[in-house]
Amino acid sequence: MNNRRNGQSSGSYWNGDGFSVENVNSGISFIGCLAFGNDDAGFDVKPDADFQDCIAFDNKRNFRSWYAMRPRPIQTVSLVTP
Amino acid sequence: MKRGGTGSVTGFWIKDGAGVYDHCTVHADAGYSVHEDGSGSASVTNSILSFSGTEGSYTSGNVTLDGSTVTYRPGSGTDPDYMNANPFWDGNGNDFNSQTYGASKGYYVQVGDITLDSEESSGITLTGTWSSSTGASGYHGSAYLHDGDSGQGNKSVRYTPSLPATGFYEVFANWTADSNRANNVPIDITHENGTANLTVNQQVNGGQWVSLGTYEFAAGTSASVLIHNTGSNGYVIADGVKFVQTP
Repeated sequence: MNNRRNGQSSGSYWNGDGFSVENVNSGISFIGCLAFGNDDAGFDVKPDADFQDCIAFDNKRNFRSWYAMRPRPIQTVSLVTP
Repeated sequence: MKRGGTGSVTGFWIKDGAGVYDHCTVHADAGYSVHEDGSGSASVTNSILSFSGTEGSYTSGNVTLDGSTVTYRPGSGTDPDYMNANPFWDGNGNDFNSQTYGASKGYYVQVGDITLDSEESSGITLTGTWSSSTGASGYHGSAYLHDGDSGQGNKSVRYTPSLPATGFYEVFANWTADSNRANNVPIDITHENGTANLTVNQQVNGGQWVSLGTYEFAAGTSASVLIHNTGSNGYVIADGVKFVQTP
């Protein structure tokens, strides 16, 4: 996923996420996923989710989890290149 | 407007939750490796957090790095010695595997060698009558066992290790060599994917750990090495076996 410069509301910031999951969802697993070049999160995940062999780089925040979520990335590579 | 707001570039960012990050690799030029940005917590285990230079912080907020996680930046910590650390990596191949902590992404936990000696009581199961001896050199521990070149098909020694982690292990055996030994000693290795039936020549290569191959084993006590004398044509020696985890 490569979503760049998805402008949020006026006066806010560029909110271009790669994989984005809202908290009405459940049973989410990311396996072998790649997210790069996003202006905000590579993965922006609100529900509990599993990550296996996922890679994120050149995103503002590579893996982003919210509130009561419990990410469990396994063998995940997060490469930050500002 | 700024890219993603005003916060720092981050590997793992969490707000108000409980982040559990295991076997992760975070390499960056700046920013935070792990940032807890609210009232929650984050714990990082078995992972590598590294920076390419002097900029950047490993943690921000309520983040715990336990002893199984390593940190590195030039001049500090242990270099994970990444394989082809290419910032424009496309996700394919072995890039960013660590050659220091094991050829896998994330901190590879090295398990120490596990050795079972025939004169031990734990993990050793004898079937039939075996004699203890120190008559030949090259044994491991205080003695070795032999079958007396008798009772073929009715004697065995099973070594059952307690493996702390699932993974691949290279298996070794040691014996004392002599011309009166069997050159067709059967060894059965029970592993995660079946049983390997091998034959070794104990007339040679004594006093050293001889590789019996590398196999995948599950954690626990399901693995075993069985040395027996079915069809053997000389003395069968049961001295010791060793399991060495491989990356």
